[in-house]
Amino acid sequence: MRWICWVEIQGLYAAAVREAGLAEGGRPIAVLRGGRVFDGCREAFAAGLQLGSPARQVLRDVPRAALVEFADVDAAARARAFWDRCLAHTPYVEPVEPHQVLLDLPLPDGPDGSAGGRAQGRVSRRLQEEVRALAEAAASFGFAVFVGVGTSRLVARAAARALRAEFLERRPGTLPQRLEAVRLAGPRPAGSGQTGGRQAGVGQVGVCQAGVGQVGVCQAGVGQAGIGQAERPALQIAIVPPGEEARFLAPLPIGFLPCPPEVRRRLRQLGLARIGEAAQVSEDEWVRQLGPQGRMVARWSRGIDPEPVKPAWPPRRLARRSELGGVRDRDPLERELSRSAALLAAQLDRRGEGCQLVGLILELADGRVLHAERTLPRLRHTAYPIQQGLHTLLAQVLDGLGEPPEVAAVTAEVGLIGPVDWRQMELWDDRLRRERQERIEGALALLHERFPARVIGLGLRTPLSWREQMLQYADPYRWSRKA
Amino acid sequence: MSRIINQPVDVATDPDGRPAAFRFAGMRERVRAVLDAWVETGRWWEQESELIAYRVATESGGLFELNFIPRERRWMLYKAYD
Repeated sequence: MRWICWVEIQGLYAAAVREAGLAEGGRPIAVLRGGRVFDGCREAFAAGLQLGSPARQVLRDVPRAALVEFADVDAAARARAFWDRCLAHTPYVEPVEPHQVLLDLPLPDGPDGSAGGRAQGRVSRRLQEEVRALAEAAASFGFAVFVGVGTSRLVARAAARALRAEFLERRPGTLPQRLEAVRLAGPRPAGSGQTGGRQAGVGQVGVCQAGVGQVGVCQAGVGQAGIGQAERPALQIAIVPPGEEARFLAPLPIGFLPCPPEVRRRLRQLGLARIGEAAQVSEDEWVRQLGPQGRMVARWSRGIDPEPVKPAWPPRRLARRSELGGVRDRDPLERELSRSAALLAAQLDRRGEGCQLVGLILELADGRVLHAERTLPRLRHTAYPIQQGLHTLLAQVLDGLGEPPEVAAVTAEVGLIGPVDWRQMELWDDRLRRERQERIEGALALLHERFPARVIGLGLRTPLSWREQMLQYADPYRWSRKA
Repeated sequence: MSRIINQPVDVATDPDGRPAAFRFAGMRERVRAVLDAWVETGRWWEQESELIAYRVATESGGLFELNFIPRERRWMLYKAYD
């Protein structure tokens, strides 16, 4: 079974700020993004820093805080190190942001690694151990780690987000969120294997059985476990067992769904506050309200998200090297690059992928190696743009050298590989036709109800001529010349 | 909105070969203006004839599309716009 895991590190940027010496030693750090708090160090949060609060409030909450702009922080090196650590657990690593990563953990179903545990709606011990090890690996990059695990991206992200909200965003006087998921908390000391306890998170141990159908919330809030008091990083883990996704999502705010802004606005207008409320509305009604995006909202609200984790780290490259044996002319080089472009494009095409980076490596007879890269404006999977990119790079490299060099080998490579969106125009989709037919049938049913004595039906349908069909698709002037 | 008629029609042309008047539903319609004209190749791969389409406004206030098929030397009243 595949478990999708969302790992989020709090304090990664603040640690990078500290490392780069952007803040004076000892001062609490608040990282701002778009003028609002995005990250901070443990001391800042312990002093009352609130995520999302504006800069002026930070100065009230944490008077000594050093405010650093997100754009000034270079957390890439730390993030790459973290993603490399993730590769030890799974080859499916999809970075989302430097502090967020999605993983796909292919693990057997059963509680002890055997098959059959999935049906019981339980979480295997092996998964718990794997996730805990992952969280511990992430812990060295920040002061708190939130790990959400589920059977889909959406559920994993929602679980991690809920943990973070509970841990960092809880306002004084409010109750912690009721999370119906298996919660693990705290780094595990040697020899401990206890389960079934309910306990506070940071620095403590064990598996909190707050599972679905049982009860419970782990008290791991800021006030109790104490960010400021704990020296060790806080590990917050929530695992949503299979089949319980909708129940888990139901009490969470509707903002946890990854909707585009216009859909989010519409949801607000409809007065929906929780995901469970959205799940009670039928898919047809959602489509009526929101159009095609309604279908996604209906499925997300029930915990259905078929989008897989893309193995995007380390960045993949495809390359083709050709030995030329020392040529000086540009023509044979261009011919070879065209051939390479065609072969690389065919490889990408077969996998349904495209590339956004084209690279050229020229190995000269005198031992020098020249390398050039070019980023394409969007993902391309056909030979022509790759070939054009390679030819441009070749021209740049050779023009820079002046004297035509003797080239021993040439390598064409493509990078930034991702799945190509194959969406086609509505010409191939009969959805509109189906929807029209449904509307006609609905209208006829209403008319039958209103005028029961009358015979009401559709008239004879005249098939459209080819010309009329073409006129519906495009205006005639495009296809003809003027008389 | 428009209605497809697609029936042969008698057309009187001006010296340039453009429609000047035609008879439709027993009424003689005089063309006030040729609003547009274009050539359509049709499905030539299925041996369909080329046609010249004219969108005309008549003196009675109607708007029509007349098609002339050069190969067959005949006129069709293709469409009437409401």
